[in-house]
Amino acid sequence: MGKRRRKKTSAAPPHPRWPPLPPPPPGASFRLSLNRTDELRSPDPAASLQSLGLASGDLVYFSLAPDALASPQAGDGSSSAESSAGASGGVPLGHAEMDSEDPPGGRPREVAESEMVDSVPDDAPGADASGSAGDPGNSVSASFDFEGDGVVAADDSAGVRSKFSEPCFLKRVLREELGGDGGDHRLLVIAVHAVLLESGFVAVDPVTGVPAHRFHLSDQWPSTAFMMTLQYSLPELVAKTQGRNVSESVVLKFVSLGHFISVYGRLAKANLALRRVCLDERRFAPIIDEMWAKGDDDVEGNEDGGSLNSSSEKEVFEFWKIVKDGLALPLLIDLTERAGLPLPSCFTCLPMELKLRIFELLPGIDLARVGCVSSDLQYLASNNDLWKQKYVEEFGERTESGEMINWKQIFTLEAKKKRKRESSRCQMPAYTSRVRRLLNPLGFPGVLGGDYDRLPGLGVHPPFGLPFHRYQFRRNIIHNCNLGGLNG
Amino acid sequence: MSSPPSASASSSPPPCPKKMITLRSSDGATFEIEETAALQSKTLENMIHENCASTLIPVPNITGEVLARVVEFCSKHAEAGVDDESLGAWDEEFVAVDHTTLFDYIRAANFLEIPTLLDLGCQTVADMIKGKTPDEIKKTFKITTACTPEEEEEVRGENQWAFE
Repeated sequence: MGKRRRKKTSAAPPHPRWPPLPPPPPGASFRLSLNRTDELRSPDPAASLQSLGLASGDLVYFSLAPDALASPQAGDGSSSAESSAGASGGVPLGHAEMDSEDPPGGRPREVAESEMVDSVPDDAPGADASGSAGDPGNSVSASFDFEGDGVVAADDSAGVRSKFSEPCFLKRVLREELGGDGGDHRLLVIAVHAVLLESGFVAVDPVTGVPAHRFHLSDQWPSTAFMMTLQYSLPELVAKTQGRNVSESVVLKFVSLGHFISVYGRLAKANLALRRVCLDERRFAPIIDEMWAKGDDDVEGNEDGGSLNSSSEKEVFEFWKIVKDGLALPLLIDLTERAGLPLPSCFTCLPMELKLRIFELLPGIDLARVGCVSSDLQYLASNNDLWKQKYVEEFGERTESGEMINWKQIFTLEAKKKRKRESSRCQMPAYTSRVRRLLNPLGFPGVLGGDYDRLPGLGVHPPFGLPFHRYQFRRNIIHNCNLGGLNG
Repeated sequence: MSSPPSASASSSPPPCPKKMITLRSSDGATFEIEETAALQSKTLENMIHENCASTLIPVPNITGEVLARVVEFCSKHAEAGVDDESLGAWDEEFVAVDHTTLFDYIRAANFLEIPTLLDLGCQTVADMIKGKTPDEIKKTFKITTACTPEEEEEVRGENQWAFE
């Protein structure tokens, strides 16, 4: 990764290292696009970009070519820039300064908040020079940081800075509410937040220290969020301080690095062990998004056999496990110890992996029962692979296979059937006599009891046996014989 | 914990000194364990084979008390000439401890990758869960839950077959 420097100042200093840009081409020669194919046009040349459907945080491509936007030579010059850029998948860099003499008006926010990528502008002028040297087919992507309601001087200068090619991210941004949130970031942050809540934490407003019933992410979420902080505490501590500044809490800090988000957790008032997990947005955000889009409430959600296929379910499980074992549980233990509260149940504190290992040793029926204990155990106990194992243990291999089998359902059905069979067996011995007859289609004597005990001569050749009885043995008279073996 | 006595009868050739490995717990206590016993732990085995085990091995996640017991377990299981039955009985006694300690054993066994101890611990916990109703499980392990009664009802309904 290239170097990154965090700017803490509130104003964007000029960049003396950048070579002076060529004079900006006239606005009419610009072709703007969101997906590099379809041009954004407006009948009214004075229309604002917002009216074209652009929103804060959108990635915009522009081309100087008179014809349709060509395929970008996106990769080459700036691929290193892309990898060195601090922002993840498609989130625009915060500093698309348009013009050296036209300082970005409403940009102090992103400078203060975000990790500025200084190596990118170092590369970009190179790409710049080649790009604006008049290559007709060259379309270079630029990122414009739109303020929610600010005015951005986007229509005249050619501020080429960063280079990303993430159309999927774009689609998502467009699809979502036009708050301009970084879609992938938001999904992951909310998902991590969910794990914390499920583990027993309550959200606390980081500024006032007062418990917040829900984070108003739109308020505190800048559109170019490279870093953000959330704070949590425990219900017992919140109750103690009764709405005022809570005494002890944990702080979660989200930092994006390329397509990873690192989440750091620690006690707010102590510099003890820092807990950290690193989440790959490319791996998890699509799955979480899929889940969110389907509107599922429960995470396992494949009751209807189709909400999440089994590989997605596994990814979600992995995500939950990583965050829970890496952040939520250790922080819970840290916080309860620090606050002098009784530790949560040692069983609860066990990592998910070990709980799962214990569950593997349980028979199906106990697994179902343990799933009724609490929500996190319910999630664990619904693990599809686990139920597959249970099924195989109890009922043997099953020939059909596929991604969508809900093994718990199948197990439940089989278990009910088995129970019915067992209870009906006790009630219907006559059933077995028919079965027995089927086993002796030619009338040869079976070796079970019954007639052969009563009439020892049966089936034995004359003169030792009773010849005229030979044909009577078909009348299998079974009184109270236990033919359990037939039912095995 | 003292290390197990070194080998054997007088008739055998003089035993070469058993290689001892020193472990240090999170609270600074040190324990010696025979190499053969240490091989029960895959983590330690890897370190031994890579020759990193010549000096002190820190075991940061495990306290002295638990580490002592784990060393005892490994040594017992590395002993020759112990029949299965008495080993089983010894194991049973070993895990007849309070829950906190039991879970500490499980965690330690997981960290040090000791399959025998891990299986023993997990099986013990599984046996504690078997046959119990959810309420009994909650009580046994002192699990508190944030579920609303409606949610609990719903889950129980889904798993009704397990209660019949």
